[in-house]
Amino acid sequence: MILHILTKAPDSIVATQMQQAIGGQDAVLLIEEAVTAALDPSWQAWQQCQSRIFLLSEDLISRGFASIATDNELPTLEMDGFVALTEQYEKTVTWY
Amino acid sequence: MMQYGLLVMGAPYSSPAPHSALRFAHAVLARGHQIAGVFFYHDGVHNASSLMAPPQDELNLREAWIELHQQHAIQLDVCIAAALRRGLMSESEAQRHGKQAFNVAPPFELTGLGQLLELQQRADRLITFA
Repeated sequence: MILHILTKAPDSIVATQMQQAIGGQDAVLLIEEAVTAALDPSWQAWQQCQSRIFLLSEDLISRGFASIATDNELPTLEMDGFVALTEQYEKTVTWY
Repeated sequence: MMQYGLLVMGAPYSSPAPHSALRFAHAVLARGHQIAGVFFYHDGVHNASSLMAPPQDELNLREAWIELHQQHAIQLDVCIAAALRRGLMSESEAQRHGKQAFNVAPPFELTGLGQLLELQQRADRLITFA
């Protein structure tokens, strides 16, 4: 069980590499530039990791994407939820 | 309660990584955990520069790290090899290399990679911000 932290846009090479590395029990947190994934509800990872993939809401807000994420019904987490995920998952990998 | 280690590899103002790390650190402490240490590596060493002078209405990341250290006694380690290559050095290193200025001072400490391994062993979680 690994928590994958993606910092780059969903069309980046590291995002593709991450998608190949995600295991069945793993979770994904999208931070920084990765929150642009809110613009693309058809991104494959949304299906691939259903109920275990989240957008960091602070980073959505700072980029003006918060309402887009809500409209697209995408799951978000506060910074507190980010910490909670790291409590739950013993290992984390940051993709950058 | 868990011990967290943070590895910061992005430079302030060019990468969002240090700001993410700082906000994460505050959230970790707010949930009742402790931070065993912060290790600055690669471009992350620029967080330690005492010569950074951002506009006054902007966050000064170095000061924000120092505040975290002062309030929670969190160790701030800077990789010496990464720092020297990028022109960051303490007073003693500046003397050793014949430089006229220095820009790394306590609470930031220049250390080796061994400190990162030690932090990894000491911490229950090591989170990378890059």
